[in-house]
Amino acid sequence: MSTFGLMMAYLKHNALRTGYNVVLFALGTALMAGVLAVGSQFEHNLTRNLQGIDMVVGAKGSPLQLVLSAVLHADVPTGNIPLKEAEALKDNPLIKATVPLALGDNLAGYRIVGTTPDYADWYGARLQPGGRMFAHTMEAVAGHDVAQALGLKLGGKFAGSHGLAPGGELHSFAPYTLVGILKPSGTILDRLVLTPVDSVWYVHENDDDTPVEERPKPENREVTAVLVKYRTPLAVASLPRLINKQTDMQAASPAWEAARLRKLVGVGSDTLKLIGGVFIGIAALGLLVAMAEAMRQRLYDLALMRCFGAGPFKVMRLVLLEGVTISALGAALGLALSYGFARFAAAQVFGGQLAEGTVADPQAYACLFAAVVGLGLVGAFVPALRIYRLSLPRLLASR
Amino acid sequence: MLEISNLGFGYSAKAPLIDVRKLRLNNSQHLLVQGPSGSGKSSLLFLLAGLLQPQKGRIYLGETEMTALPAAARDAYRGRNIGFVFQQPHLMAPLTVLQNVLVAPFMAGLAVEQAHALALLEKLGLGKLAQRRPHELSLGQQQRVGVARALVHKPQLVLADEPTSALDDEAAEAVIGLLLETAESVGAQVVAASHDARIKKHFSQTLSLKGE
Repeated sequence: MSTFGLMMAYLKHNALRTGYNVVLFALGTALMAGVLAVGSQFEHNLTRNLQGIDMVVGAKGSPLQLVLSAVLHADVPTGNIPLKEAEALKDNPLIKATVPLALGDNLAGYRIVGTTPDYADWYGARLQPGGRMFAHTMEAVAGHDVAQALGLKLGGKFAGSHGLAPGGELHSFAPYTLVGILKPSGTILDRLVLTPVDSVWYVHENDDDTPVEERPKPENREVTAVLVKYRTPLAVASLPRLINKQTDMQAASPAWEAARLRKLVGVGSDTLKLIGGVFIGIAALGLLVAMAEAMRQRLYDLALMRCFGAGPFKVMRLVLLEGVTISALGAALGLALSYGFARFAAAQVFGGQLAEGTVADPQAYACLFAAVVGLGLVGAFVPALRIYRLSLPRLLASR
Repeated sequence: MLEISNLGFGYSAKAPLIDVRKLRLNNSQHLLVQGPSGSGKSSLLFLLAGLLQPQKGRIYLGETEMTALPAAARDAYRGRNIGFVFQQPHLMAPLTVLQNVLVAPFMAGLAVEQAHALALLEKLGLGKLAQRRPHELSLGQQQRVGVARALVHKPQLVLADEPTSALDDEAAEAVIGLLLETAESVGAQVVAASHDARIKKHFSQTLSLKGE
């Protein structure tokens, strides 16, 4: 016989009550863990994708939209900017490097981005064996997720569709040749198709379906945005203001916009955390009520234990252990549910591979586990206190 | 050996419920405490168990003055040296018969061999019921489990509160007979509080309480 065995016997005897409390704790924990994982994934994506990009220059409009469209490829661009103005940025002494981005077409919903090989280099992307970086017009390099989802093979050909969403007009007259596939990088590159900027211009300047007078002219060439790396940190104070004031272009700071985005998303995330917290709180309260009722029902059992020589703390320990066990089982089940859901989602979205950052860091989970168990302990403490204050003669004489 | 001297106890200071000047119970003697309801029979058992503290007087069990022990030491002493039999057996529903017997020494921090508990159950005619749950037993069988639980750790003293009141003649005779016989076999003295006249013949000493 052991304290744990005795406690388990009581838990099994009240299986329904035990199960109900475990499920309540599990739901609260799963929700909290889910919010943590989503937050972690969001933060991970933001950090990885914004890394090393000091400024984005594009058409005037919402700076957040510009950053979302040009860096995270999660929104439509604010417009285009003249190539000449974009190229002039290179000559600015405060700027170390630039990468142009030309958007306009997609492949089954994955954006085709006209750019330079530097774009992949900035993210430290590497090619899968057998492939190479694009070098000529209409050559393309696919991100890992694109190639996997669409089953693209090196040397294969495909045509882009007009627009950034699937279903646009197919540019079948100008097929791309796949010359490289990127290794997974955990960045936005995984979900893009890269090609020289010339390819994007070529496709749109030679589209037979567009009347000649409406086709873009080579002398009016444009790009969608330019990603900029500063030469010196001093640039942050003057350069965006200069561009915004003196040109028809807009300069946006990814770091600044990311902070705004965090704030925006933070409200939703805080709400979800609050809901998760309420669930756990209800579970703790439910445990308190359920345990108080269970204690009332077996008060005589506990009085007998005291009668048999157990000190008040020994009996209290038994009750507290019960609360800890229920909440620990609930927390473990909740974390398992959350992990299982992440795996399931990963299987649907990424073909089984858990993306980096899909699961929050173990320390966050450990803290969540400890907090839930702590709440279970608090929930059991009030009934346990009743045991401590029990008047044995009165109780024993009452039966 | 149980010895009481000048013991006084009452729930109200003005009207003492229990007033026992001198009582000595030698080894192998058993005591029946009689009295009408409310006369303090159960309270006397609680005093002997150290669950209540008297306003005056002393209680000795062997060489130990129970009334002089601090609360925690009284708990420990009670666990090691005293067994309980109640009017209702009140076995713990989630536990088997064997576990119900072993839970008492476990709570007292005593190591009791399972084989010893099984032998005791066998002696009480419950050997085949060791793995059963309390609800599968008759009231008489449950009361016998209560007897085993009270004696499994070989206490010096067994306190029995109305142990036969809920039983019919045959079961009452069997339970009290087994209680005293088994208690003697482990060297324990029995103090029973009861108004059940059927069991008086089994006790060598009686104490009558009249109450306030």
